[in-house]
Amino acid sequence: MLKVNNIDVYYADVQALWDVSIEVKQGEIVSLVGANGAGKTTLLNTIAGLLHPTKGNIEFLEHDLTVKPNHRRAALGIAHIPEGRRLFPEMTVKQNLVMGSMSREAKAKREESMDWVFSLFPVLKERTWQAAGTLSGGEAQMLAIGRGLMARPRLVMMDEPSLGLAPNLVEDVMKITKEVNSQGITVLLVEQNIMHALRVCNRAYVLETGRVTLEGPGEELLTNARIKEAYMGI
Amino acid sequence: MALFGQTFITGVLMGGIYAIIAIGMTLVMGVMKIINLAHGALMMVGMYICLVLFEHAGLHPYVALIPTMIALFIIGYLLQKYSIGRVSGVETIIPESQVLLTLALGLAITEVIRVIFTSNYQIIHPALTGEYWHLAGMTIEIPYLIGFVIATIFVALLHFFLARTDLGQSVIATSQDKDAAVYMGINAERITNFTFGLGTALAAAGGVILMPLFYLYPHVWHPYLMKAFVITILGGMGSTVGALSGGLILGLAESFGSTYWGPQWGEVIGFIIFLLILLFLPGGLKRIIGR
Amino acid sequence: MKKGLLSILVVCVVALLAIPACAPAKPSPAKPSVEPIKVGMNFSLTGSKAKFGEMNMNSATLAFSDFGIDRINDRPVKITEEDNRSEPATAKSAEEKLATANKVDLIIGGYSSSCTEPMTSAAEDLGIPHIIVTGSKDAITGKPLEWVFSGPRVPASHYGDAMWEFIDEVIIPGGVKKVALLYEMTDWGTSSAKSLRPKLEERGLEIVYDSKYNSEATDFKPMLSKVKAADPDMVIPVSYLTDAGLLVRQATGLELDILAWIGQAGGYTMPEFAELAGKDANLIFSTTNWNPKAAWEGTLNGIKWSGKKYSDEYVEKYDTEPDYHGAQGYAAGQIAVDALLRAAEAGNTINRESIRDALDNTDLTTVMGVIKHHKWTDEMGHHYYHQGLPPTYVIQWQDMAQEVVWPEDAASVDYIFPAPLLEQ
Repeated sequence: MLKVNNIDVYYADVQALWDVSIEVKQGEIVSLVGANGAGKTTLLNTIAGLLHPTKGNIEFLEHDLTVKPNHRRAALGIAHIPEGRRLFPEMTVKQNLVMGSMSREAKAKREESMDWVFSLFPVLKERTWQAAGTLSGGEAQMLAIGRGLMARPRLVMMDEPSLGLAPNLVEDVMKITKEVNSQGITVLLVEQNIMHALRVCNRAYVLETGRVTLEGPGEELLTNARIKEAYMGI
Repeated sequence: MALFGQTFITGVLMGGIYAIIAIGMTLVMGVMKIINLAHGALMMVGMYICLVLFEHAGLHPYVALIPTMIALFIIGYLLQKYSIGRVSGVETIIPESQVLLTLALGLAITEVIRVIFTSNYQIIHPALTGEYWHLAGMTIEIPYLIGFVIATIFVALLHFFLARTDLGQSVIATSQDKDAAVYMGINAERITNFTFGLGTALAAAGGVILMPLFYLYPHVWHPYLMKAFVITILGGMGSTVGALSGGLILGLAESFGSTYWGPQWGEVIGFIIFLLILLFLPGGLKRIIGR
Repeated sequence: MKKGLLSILVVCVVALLAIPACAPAKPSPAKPSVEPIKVGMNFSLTGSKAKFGEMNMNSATLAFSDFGIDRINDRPVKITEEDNRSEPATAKSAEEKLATANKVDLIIGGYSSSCTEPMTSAAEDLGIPHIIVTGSKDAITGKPLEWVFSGPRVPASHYGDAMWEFIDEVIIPGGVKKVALLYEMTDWGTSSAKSLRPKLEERGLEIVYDSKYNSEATDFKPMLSKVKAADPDMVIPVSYLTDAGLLVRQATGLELDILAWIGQAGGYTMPEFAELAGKDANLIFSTTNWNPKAAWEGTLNGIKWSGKKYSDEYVEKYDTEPDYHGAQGYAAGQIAVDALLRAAEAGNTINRESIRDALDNTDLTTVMGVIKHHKWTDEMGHHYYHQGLPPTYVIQWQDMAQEVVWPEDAASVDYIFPAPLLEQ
């Protein structure tokens, strides 16, 4: 479904990604794990179109993404749930959800999608008329995910969805991720919480200083000695 | 009592007209996070277009309003797309280079108009100019009343547009978080161009409303730009209700100030309010009235 | 055929281009390069007062071309313009630039008093002759200045000399007792009001409303409502143009019931006033320092001129009627031309000193009347230096035209009084 082929990405003069290749297949949950500054968010932002690779290309369902303007990616079926959630704080929950469905296909299914999102996150329904800026952290994350789902995406990219959440909420977010995936939506997940990320995913890529150093099924990596040593302190 | 009533009515009517001029600025400021100093000059261009339409096509300003707004929408859109927008995000020595660019544009536009139309005062006397209503010892200048009604209709339409349409909501979303709007598939650049065009068209509407009441010359916009600026700060960025209430407050403050404190103080009061708001209510009225 | 034409055209163009290039090659007597005589103009060409500044300057420039002095003593006369943007600080720096960078020999300029004052003090400091055109605050010539001359301007407190006669002989006998005094808040308005007050009071007129206002405001109804509540018989306003038009229009709308509205020149004498105020302009009085109907004429540099001729010429060239601001500009031009010619005649080198000396001895009939730069003291005890005193008039708007109604011997029509705002 999504193929990132040998890309190099620079921030100004500093190279952030080195010859990175990943693949996400239809129906999978794929996690990108690694330390802070390893290049996970850079990779997501490049797929989202905020950064442009100097080498390599990105394919999504037969489209070459590197030549599409960034606001077009939503219409192709990629929803980006950015780090920090980036809700529209002064708009209501409902208005935020509406903003998630601006592409033509999504617009046609707006009512239906909203019901679906409300059934996934009943708490949002209670908060329909509340300004997004007044939601609690967990609710805000649900809204961010819900807003992404409103686009009727085929691929959801989640950037640090559990960042800043209480531990019990982190569990919820992982549950939600599974739930989203069970609706037939492919998920590309970036997580610093490596235990959660590996447990929830089908496959994972480990990024270190801008390079892919390991890849494999989640359970397999969970038992990988190097991972244990480097990230779990075992 | 008649004096109080007269002062009140004058303030309210003027305030409505201020609001429509300011609302364009507040929209642009919301979306672009800059003060558009060309706003007043663009309003003035609208007034000259209205003048030409009146003198050569015989259109009453209230009829010329629509073509003038369309023309200014296009001018604003193109100006943003090919000039101001290009400077966005470009690293320059001065961080607010866009603001400086709008200032330069405003001055350049004024000079171009001066070359074409000279700095002579232009006055038109369309039907209804100088017509009054006398009511319980008070006087209402009819073009003021019509201007106020037109202004409030536009403010209401704009409010509805922003709150109820996808395009309007995209404008709001872009003004709250541009990057997030792009994630949503909103073409933020086009929204910015559109907003600039819309803001310009509304300023032009404000200018056209003034045509049967006042006179026109290339620098006519100076006080209106300042007032729009004050109202923007007063009302809060990107808020229609804020701009309307800001306009009314400013109109009333000026009117009551000049009646009861002395006519030379009328305009000073606006700036005193401006200072007080900046010091004690930096978010503007928006913070109080919600949105 | 086409090609043939084209080549002829090309040859022509090349020839034309070549001529100036060839010119220096012509054998010519080695002439010492002559410095032109430079005349600087310092006016408000942009900004809020641009309208008046333009008229001042166009007229002054017109005088130079009318009286045919493009050369004096084999030195070409060159005019340098500076725009002071109607801002006092810029007016000062423009004056300094003209004097030091452009090295002009004489400066003409000054519309608003707030710009004229810094201009003239700069001229005095730098030792360059300056002819004031309009800037009318009394104090501008209230101290002895060596380099500043004020022929065509009328000091603000003398704008009304003809009006006081009119008030004494027509207005007061006509039953006016209470007066409202409105004046714009810059130097001009406040100094005018200051001199109006004692003169109103000494005539037993009661000032029932007295306030300054911002001439750039757009809605005067709050102020006018208070005027109406004070119930005056007469309004005396000191206004620029746009405020004049709006005041009259809005006062009429408020049904202000008065016997006379007597403007203190400024906007009330401008042709645009009638456009701004429309039919409400009718019967409005104003003092004025000039009107094309005033019968001044004469000969300068062998060329005949008259007020009417100047006015017609101005209309033809600039497509708008000049008012007294224009006449003041023209008169300033006449004074400058006369001074330059006399400086040359006396066999002097034309420089700042000889121009100053010539201006000291000016005694010239201009479109503004007879001008002398002398020292005098008025009945209020104000001293004036290098100051002329052009005569003044009272005009009344009748059928959308300005008519001279006072002094009676100069009147073009009879005055109409009482002169209410409302159409009866």
